Amino acid sequence: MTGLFGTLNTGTKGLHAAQHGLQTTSHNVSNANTEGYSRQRVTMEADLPMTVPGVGQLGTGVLISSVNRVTDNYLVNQVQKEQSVLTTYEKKSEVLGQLEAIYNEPSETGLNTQLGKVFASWTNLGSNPEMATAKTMVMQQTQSFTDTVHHMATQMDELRDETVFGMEKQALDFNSTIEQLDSLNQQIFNVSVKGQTPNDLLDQRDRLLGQLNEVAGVEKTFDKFNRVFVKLDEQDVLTKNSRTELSVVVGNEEGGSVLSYGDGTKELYPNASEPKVGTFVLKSGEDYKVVDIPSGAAKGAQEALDTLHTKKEQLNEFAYNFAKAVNTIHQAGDENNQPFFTVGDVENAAHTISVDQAIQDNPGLIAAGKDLENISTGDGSRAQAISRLQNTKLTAEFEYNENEMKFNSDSTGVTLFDQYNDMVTDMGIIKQQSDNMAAMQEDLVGLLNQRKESVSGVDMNEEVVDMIRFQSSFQANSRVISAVSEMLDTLINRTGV
Amino acid sequence: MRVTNSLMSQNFLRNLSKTTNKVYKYQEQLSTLKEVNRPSDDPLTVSRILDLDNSIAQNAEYKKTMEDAIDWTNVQDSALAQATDSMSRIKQLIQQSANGTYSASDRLAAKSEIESEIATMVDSFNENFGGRYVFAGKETTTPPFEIDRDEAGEFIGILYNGTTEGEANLSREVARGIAIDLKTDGRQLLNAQGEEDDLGTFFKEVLTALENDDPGALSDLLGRADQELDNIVGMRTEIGAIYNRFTASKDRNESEALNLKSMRSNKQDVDLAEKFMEYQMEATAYQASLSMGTRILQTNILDYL
Repeated sequence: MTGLFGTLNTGTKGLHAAQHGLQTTSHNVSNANTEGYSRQRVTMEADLPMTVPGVGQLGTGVLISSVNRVTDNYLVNQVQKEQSVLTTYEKKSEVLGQLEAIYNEPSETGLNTQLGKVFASWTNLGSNPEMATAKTMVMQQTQSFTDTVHHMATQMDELRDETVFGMEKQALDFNSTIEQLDSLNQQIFNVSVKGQTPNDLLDQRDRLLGQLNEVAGVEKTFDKFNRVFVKLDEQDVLTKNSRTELSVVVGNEEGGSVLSYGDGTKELYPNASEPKVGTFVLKSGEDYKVVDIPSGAAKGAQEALDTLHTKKEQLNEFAYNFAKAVNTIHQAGDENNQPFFTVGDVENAAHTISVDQAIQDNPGLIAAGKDLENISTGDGSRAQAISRLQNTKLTAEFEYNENEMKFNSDSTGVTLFDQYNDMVTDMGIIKQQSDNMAAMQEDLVGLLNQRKESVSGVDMNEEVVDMIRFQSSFQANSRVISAVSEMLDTLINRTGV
Repeated sequence: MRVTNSLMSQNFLRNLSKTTNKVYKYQEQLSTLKEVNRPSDDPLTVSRILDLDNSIAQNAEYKKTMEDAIDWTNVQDSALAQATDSMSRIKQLIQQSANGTYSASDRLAAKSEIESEIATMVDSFNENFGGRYVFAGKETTTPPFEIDRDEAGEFIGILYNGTTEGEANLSREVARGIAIDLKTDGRQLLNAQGEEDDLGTFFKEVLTALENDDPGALSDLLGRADQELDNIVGMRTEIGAIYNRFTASKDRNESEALNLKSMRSNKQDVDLAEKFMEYQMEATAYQASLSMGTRILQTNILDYL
C-alpha cells in the first residue's frame, strides 16, 4: 500500500532509527572510559519493499536489525592469555624484589661484610692472643653476624607467610570470579535464547575472564548461547550446572596438609599424599585434585615461593657449615671440648646458630692457641687457623686434620664466602630473568591491547560525527513527516472545497 | 589502523612509564654513585663486587698484622742493639782484665761492671712490646730471662722461662697462604753449646776467673766472648731480614690493595660525566613526551563545533 500514510510511516521509522542510533552513540560516549567496554553499532537495513504493479518495488524505510558490539574474539583471547603470562612474572619479580631487599647486597651492612668482620676479628686474635679485648671482639662480631643471620631467616619466613597469604586471597578471588561468571552465564543464556545479543553482558564476561586469567591461566570454551565454561589444568571448574572451588595448601600438620579457601574456611586435605605449601587444589563435591597452574599471579607466587624455599635452605646450610667448621677447629676435632657455636639441626640452623652461652659469659674461653690444655698466652695459631677458614674450600665431608689445624680441601669444595656469594648471585639472576621476561611480556601485552583498543575502543571524534549524522537524519525525517502532513492538509482541507 | 582516544592515552601512558623508569634508574645511580644497587641489576657484577669486598677487607687485615709485626721486629732490633753494646763492653772488659798489668782490685772492679752489664743485657732480652715479651717464644706474658743466683747472691747462670718445647716462633699470616715467622725463640740468644754450657755459664766462668784473679783463664775466654757477640749480632741480622720480609710484603700488600680498590671502583662506581649525559638525554625525552602528549590528548573535535 503506497500512499501518504505509508510515507508517514516510513518517516516515523527513520525517526526511530535516528533515535536509536543516537541512543547507541550516547551509550558509547558515556562508556568511553569503562574497562572492557566494546563500542556498539546499530545495524540498519532497508525494510522489506512493496511490489507495486507497473512501478516495481517501492522501499518502505529503514529497519534496525540488531545492535552489535565491535570486537575481535581472537584478540580478546590473546590479550587474556598474554596478560596471564605477564602477571606470572610481575608477581614473581615482586616477591623476589622483597627477597633481594632482605639480602641487602652489596652494602656495608650486608652479611658479606659481617662475615668479613668475623674473620678479621679472628685474624686479630691470632696476632694478639694475649689481649682479652681481642677475644671479646671475636665474640661481639660473631654475635652481630648471628643476629644478622637470624634477622634474615625471620624476614624470609615472614615473606613466605605473606606470599602464602597472598595465594589464599588469589584462591578467594578465583572462586568469587567463577561464581560471578556462573550467574552471568545464566543471564547471558536468558537473553541469547530469545535470539538477542547481550552485548554489555558479553563485555562483562570477557572482563571477568581477563581477571580470572590474571590469577590463573584457564582454558575456556563457549557454547552457542555464548556461555563460557572454564577448565583449569584439564579439570572442570565451571560447567553448565556445576562449579568447583580452588584452595591452596597453607601448611603441613600432623594429620596432613591444610587447605585454605581464603575466606576463612580451612580443612584437611583428605588424600594420602601431602602436597607442599603453595600447591593449589580443586574441590568438587568430595573429590579433591591437585592442579598445576600454567600461568598467572598464582603461578608467579608459586615460583617465587620455590626460590624462597631454596634460599632459606641455603642460608640454613651456610649457617650450619660455618658453625660446624669453626667448632671443629675450635674443639680441635674433639666434641668434648668447648664449642664456639651452638647450633641445632641443619633444617633450622639459620634460626638457632649462636655463640655458645659459656663463651658469651666468659669470652676468655675462646681457644686461640694450639694446645688446649697447657695454654701458651702468645700462641694464636688456632685463631689463625679459624681465620684461614675464609679461604678454605670446604668439602661435604669436613675431613679435619688437627696436626695442621685445617680441613682437607680440594677444588670441588667451596669457601663460605663463595657459598654466600652463589646464593646472592643465583637469586639475582632469577630476579633479573623474571624482570626481563616481565618487560618483554609487557611490550607484547601493550601491543595486543593497542590492537584490541583499535578495534573495540570508543573514538570520541567518530561518535561526535555519528551524533551529527543521526541528528541530521532525525531532522530530515521530521521534514518528511511535516511535508506529508502539509500534503494531507492540502488534500483534506483544500481539495474540492 | 583505527586510532582511538583511549588507544592514544594508553600508549602515551605506557611510553611515559617506560621513560620514567629509565629516568628513575639513572637518578638512582646518580644519587648513590653506584652502577649497581641490587643483585638483579647485574648479578655477575654484584658477585664480583662481593668477592672484591672480601679481598679488600682481608687485605686490610693482613696489613694490620704486618704493621704490628714490623713494630715487633723494631722492638727486637733495638733490644738486641742494647744487648750488643753490653756484650761489646763485657768483651772489652775481659780483654783489659786479661792484660797482666791489671791488678786484682782492677779485676774486681771489672767484675762488678760486668755483673751490671749482664743485668742490663738480660733486661734488654726481656724487652716487651705492648706488654708482650718479644723473646719469650709463645709465653709472651712471662718475662723469659732471669738471672740465677746461689744462696750467697752470686751469679750462677741465666734461666730461660720461655717456650722450650716445639715451635717457639710466632707465625704471622701476611697474605693468602703465606706466613712469616717472628723470631721470638729466646733460646737462641743463650747460644747453648750442649748440656750445661751457654751464655750464662760463660758469664759464670768469666766472673769466676775475675774473682780468682786469673788472667790466663780470661785470655782463654776471649775467643768465646767473640762467639757470643757474633751470636747476638747474627740474631739481629736475622731479625733485620725478617723486618725486610715484612716491609716487602707490606709494600706488595699496599699495591695489591690499590689494585683491588680500583677494580672494585671500575665495577661499582658510576662514570659521573657519562652517566649525567645519559640522564640528561633521558630527561629531555621525558619532558618532550610530557609536553607533546598532553598537547595532543587535549585536542578533539569538540573544540571545533
